[in-house]
Amino acid sequence: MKDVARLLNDMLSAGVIADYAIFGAVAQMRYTPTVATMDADILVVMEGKDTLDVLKPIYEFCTDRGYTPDRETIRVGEWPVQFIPVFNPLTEDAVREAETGEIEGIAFRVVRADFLAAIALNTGRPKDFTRILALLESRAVSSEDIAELTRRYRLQSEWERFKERFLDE
Amino acid sequence: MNSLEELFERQAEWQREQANLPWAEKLRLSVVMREALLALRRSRHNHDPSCDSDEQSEHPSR
Repeated sequence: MKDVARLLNDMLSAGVIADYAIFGAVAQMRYTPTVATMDADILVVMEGKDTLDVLKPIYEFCTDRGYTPDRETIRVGEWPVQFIPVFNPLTEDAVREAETGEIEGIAFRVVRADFLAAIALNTGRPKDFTRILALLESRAVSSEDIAELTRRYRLQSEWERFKERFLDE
Repeated sequence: MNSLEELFERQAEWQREQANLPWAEKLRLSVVMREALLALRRSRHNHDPSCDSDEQSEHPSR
């Protein structure tokens, strides 16, 4: 993962991306016990949003450095990495308000726990609900933190359904 | 404390220790888990070639 962090920071310095933050299971593991995951998911902010192939500069940058595409991911060491352009105000703010963590001495932008939970709520698959529960269990985030974000991004009804189903409130 | 309660208490303690591992260590463990999972899927696939891969990415649907 150190190589992934280094690659992303280089990409940022070179102006290939305007910003990034890791999210999904890899970010979750900052707070919770280990979970199995197939890849590392990176939210990216691109400068040239209106081109047809928005990820092309990323793929070119990676290929130039010897990292090869593998289906929808780029293989970086042991990690298939998936680049996902921000796609709504929630993900835009998740990157803007990300924290700077550290992997073996390398700085690494990471989505905050409350945004991880809100994105999971918005996505709404069973494993996303498991993520929210794991974040709550680890006390990385509180119900109040999540409720605050659900008001900001109009996810109140999803949050109410989640609470009714899983938190018995 | 009866034996069942002790078992739960030990399990909870183990989980707390797991959560407190350094992030980099958890990521290393995650790679090991992924490889084990993929090996299991390959083995299942060899026994039943008609089964579809259920490999999933983590990314949310857009």
